[in-house]
Amino acid sequence: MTKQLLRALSRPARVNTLAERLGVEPGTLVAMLEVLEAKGYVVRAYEGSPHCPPSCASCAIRSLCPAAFAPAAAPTTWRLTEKERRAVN
Amino acid sequence: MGCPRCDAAVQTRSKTYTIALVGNPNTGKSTLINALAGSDLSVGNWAGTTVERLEAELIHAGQTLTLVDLPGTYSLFSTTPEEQIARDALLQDPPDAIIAVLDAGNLERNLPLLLELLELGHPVVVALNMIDEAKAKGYDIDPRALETELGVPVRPTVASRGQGLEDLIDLAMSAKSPRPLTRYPPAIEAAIEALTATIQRPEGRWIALALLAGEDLPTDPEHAHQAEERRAALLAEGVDPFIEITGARFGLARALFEKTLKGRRPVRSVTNRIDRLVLHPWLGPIFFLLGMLLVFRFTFSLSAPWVGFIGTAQAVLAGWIEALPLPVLLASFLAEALVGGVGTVLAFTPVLFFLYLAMGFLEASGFMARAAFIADRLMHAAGLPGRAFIPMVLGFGCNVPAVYATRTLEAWTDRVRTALAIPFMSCSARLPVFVLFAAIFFPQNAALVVFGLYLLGLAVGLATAWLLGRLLKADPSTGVMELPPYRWPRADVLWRQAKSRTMRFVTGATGPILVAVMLIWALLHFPPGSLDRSLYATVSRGLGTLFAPLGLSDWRVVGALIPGFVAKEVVVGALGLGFLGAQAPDAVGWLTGLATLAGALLEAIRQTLAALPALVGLSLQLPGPTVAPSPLSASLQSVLSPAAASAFLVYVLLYTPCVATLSALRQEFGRRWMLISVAYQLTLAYLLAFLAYRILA
Repeated sequence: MTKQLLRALSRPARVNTLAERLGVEPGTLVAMLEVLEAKGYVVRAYEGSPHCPPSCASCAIRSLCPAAFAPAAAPTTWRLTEKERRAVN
Repeated sequence: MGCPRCDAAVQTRSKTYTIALVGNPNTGKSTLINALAGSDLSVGNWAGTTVERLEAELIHAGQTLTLVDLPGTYSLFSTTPEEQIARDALLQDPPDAIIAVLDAGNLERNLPLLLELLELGHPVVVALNMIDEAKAKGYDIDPRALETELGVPVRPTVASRGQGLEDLIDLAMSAKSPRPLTRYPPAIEAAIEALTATIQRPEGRWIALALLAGEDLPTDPEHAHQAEERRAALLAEGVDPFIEITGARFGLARALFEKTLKGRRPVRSVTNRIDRLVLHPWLGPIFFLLGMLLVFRFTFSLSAPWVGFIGTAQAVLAGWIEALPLPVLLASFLAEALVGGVGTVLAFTPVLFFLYLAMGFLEASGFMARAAFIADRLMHAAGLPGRAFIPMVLGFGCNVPAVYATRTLEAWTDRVRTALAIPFMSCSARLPVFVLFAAIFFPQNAALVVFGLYLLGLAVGLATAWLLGRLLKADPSTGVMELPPYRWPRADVLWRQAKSRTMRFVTGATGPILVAVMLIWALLHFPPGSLDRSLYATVSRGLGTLFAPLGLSDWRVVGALIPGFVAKEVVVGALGLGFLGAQAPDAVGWLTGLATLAGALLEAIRQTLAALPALVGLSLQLPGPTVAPSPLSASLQSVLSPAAASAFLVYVLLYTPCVATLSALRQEFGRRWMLISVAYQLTLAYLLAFLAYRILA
């Protein structure tokens, strides 16, 4: 099942729809992703990202910014690491 | 509530029987141990850590009993210090029995840990906790079926109410060592068998699995070495033990869950039902575009009366200044540079306020996250790196942080092509120009025109990134996104947020605008005399030849593009200075001015109330004509045709956004790429503006 998940990550998907496709609960899928993340197979995109210059203070969509550290952060996104992407491909 | 069969704790520790409570975080383990132990609970720390350790000592059926609550863990393949404590406690100081606490409402997610516990070999009993909440969520779980499948005792419990705890300790104390249920591919099973024979411990199977998966365990170095050799051999055969092991556990967890669940999985939530439409591959982008169009309609409809009011206030202020006994040069500076230049830019703050309000609603409601998802899919379809969507979308707010946000991309080729696409995303500084021109030249379709400009910027940006991707041979990558549920945002929070963002724009932009406007004002009055013969007019006229094919021949219009290279916020201010500076305002008396302001205020309120029905489609006509300050509106109409105005809008959309963005590009990618970016933007802006002018003329 983990291999199926890694392969599925090569196309954009939402947790709920991908969970439905794999026949698991969304919470289970997130658990799988977190296990894979902990072992370096997938990465959480947009974390540990860069500076947020003062000029972005008035940005209308600041809460989507990975650099802004706003309370309403960007939606959590997991992606294959480069190494794993090559392996899957 | 205490365990009914448990007596008070006694001091003796001889023949202590230890039961460990193990489970995922938030499964109610602490509540369970509280319910079992009552007042006998003691709180300390795990040795050498600050992680809390809950423990209770009881006498149960004449036996001294220790209950230990292990830190919550999703797996014994530990990834956090807390998980490591749980794993080490089970391996180094094995309990006599385990109570596995499962959250019945998240059973499938909880089962992989239970399957690991079965592999550990210690007696296990399952507390299927929070069974009431599971029912409320729509899960009808059959504990008997689970017991049959697992081969270990299962008790449905509601620890918070003490339900189902009566015989839990008895069951734990009489439980037998379980049989492991998970079966792995033959190559892994063979390796497990060989390693287990060497390890010779009750936990041997689990230790063999952990070592094969690459876990760093406190174990015999010889065992670790043997396992590493076998792991390397498996990897060389293309079998990743970690993937196989976790895959088998999650697969079995799914199968067990399905066998245990009576009836179907719970029906979809409202969020899921809405998402079926909003995230549909074809309907989704249409909903997204409609949503954005509504944002622009909202912004235009409600801000137009207030832009008009500020325009009137500008005229009154200039009139009051004219009436004051001031030196000519000072009066000119105050009326032209401050009121005409800075004031014209600030007149558009209502537009930004209502845009921020609408965007705040989209963010807080969860719609913006969906937009990000749709954009992700769009990028993928265009052969772009999916994760580039966040920097691109950020570009609509401000290009500068968007360029820095490309650092989240791993591949350099992805970074550079995304960064070169970002300047085409229309930042909020360009909005006043769009609003001004759209309202003057396309009053009936102002919102559509501005919306179209945003789409054009997005299309050019995507095409740029796609083209560069082809040239630099970049691979697309994408992933899975967890979206928040839909929520109805609180109006007061949205209002405060929009107000705060608008004030930040005003305080942040006023300084640079003031400096730029003062410089332009000085150039407009050097040498003293007619503005037509000023240094600013001469330079602008020189550029006029270049822009004549775009229908832009008036020096004041062309001249406004020059400071726009520094910052787009200044374009409207420069237009205000160029056009309004040449017209001496009429002196206005104090009372007349106040009466005019009061009348304009009432009119703004009336128009705002009248615009509200337009939002729900009762009127398709937007109150566009009042959005531009009227003297500037008349001046621009006298020197530009609608086709030339379109060319100006396209040029402003696509040419170099500001020096701050260039500085960010230079810092991130070096001078060469910055210069390539400038040359590309200027060329493309000119060509597409020319095309727009030719088509519309």
